[in-house]
Amino acid sequence: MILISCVWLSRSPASLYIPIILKRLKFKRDYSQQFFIALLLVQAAAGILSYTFDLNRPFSESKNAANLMLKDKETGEYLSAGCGAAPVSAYLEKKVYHLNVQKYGSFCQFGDTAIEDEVRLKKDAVAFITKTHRPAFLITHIPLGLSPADSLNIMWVGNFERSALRNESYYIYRVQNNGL
Amino acid sequence: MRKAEIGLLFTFSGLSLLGIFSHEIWLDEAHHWLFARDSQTVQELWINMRYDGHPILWNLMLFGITRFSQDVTLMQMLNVCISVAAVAVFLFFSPFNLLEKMLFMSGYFILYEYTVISRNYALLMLFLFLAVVFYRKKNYVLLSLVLALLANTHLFGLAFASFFVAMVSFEFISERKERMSKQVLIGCLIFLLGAIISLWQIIPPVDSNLYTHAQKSPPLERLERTSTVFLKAFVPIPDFTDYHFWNSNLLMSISKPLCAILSSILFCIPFFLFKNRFSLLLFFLAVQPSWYYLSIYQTSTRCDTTGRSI
Repeated sequence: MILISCVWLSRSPASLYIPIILKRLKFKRDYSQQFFIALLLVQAAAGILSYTFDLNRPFSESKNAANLMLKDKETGEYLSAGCGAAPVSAYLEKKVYHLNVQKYGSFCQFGDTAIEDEVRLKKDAVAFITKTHRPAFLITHIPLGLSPADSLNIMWVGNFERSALRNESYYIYRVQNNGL
Repeated sequence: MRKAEIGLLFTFSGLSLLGIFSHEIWLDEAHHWLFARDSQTVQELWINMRYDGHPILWNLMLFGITRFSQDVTLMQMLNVCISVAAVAVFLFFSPFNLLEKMLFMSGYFILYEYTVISRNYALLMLFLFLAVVFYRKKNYVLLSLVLALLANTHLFGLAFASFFVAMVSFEFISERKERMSKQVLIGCLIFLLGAIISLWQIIPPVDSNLYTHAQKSPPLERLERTSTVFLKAFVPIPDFTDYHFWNSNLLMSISKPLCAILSSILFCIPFFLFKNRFSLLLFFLAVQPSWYYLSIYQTSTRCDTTGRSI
């Protein structure tokens, strides 16, 4: 962008002031045009490659994860360990309950750190549905290890791990109180 | 109107739309959208984003569209509109030939990163191109207005706009092209106002760790990242052997020493291309290090808070 703007400006009438050292910088033949085209060619190859990759593979799995959860009309609560589920929240068109700060949110806020302890995350998720009496989806970035005791309340729903970005994979669980 | 340019613009618009409809947004894109969507007032938006280190312009535009719909596709459409506008300015006002225009339009940053990915970079591109057009037309009031807007798109935008003003001033002084007319004076005031507003927004609260986080990294790591940023800007070919292609670089994957050599060669680009325009050479040489510096040191608060581990 800067390069193209500078080349663009350089094609208007040249300035008068050129330092002696640059005046001495003479080439037998001026290859700057060929060099510029070569740079544009490299950029075009990179552009077409990246564009094609993006068409063929999910850049993020946020949309696929959200679409799966939106199919379930009975579950309208969404939980996460922090603000990492922000892209999913954008597709859900709804705030997600951030278990780390125990409130609904969407974007990342300064100073908030996500829950890193899996045991605490599962405990907080179950505590949420016990308190609200509403089933919820739990959105994580890593697969959870579910013990038989966990499985009473937490059920695996789907893995979304084909994203072009390493950290845009999502794992979805349904959390419900079996006593409900 | 030139038929070839119109054809190119339609092709670009079509590819952009196809691109956004098959692109799934990620955290960086969602972050700004959610600021806008979940703020009830402009004041709340301002408070929510005060640790973000970005000027409000992009978020303000998103705030406007979120009053009508919460569908995130609207953000992508807005970004495409801005990008297409920037490409239109380039196609119809630049002195490049058709081959150069076609190649530029298909370039990594234009076709992909600034168009398919919805961030504030398309705005930056639009205002920068408009600045070039108005400077060539010697319309200093409009030039200063777009530079003021450019300063309010991104921290990079503020740096670009400031160096652009420095370059214009240098040409004024060294070539005595223009007298200090009323138009130039008004232009200076508009730009100053824009730059001050931008700075006021960018400087985070005192308890922010925005500029301290990256400084913890060891010098060698920083040096490696510097060369990566430099190479990625000029040869941004992704490593297509890696499924997770984003932020990868084919040359970096092949050989890092080769990249260091290539980086040194690429550093000579401005001397080669702008040897007849000293002011441009200075502008380019000033912008490059600031870009690299900011790419390395400007870290977002999100680094600490995304909770990516779980």
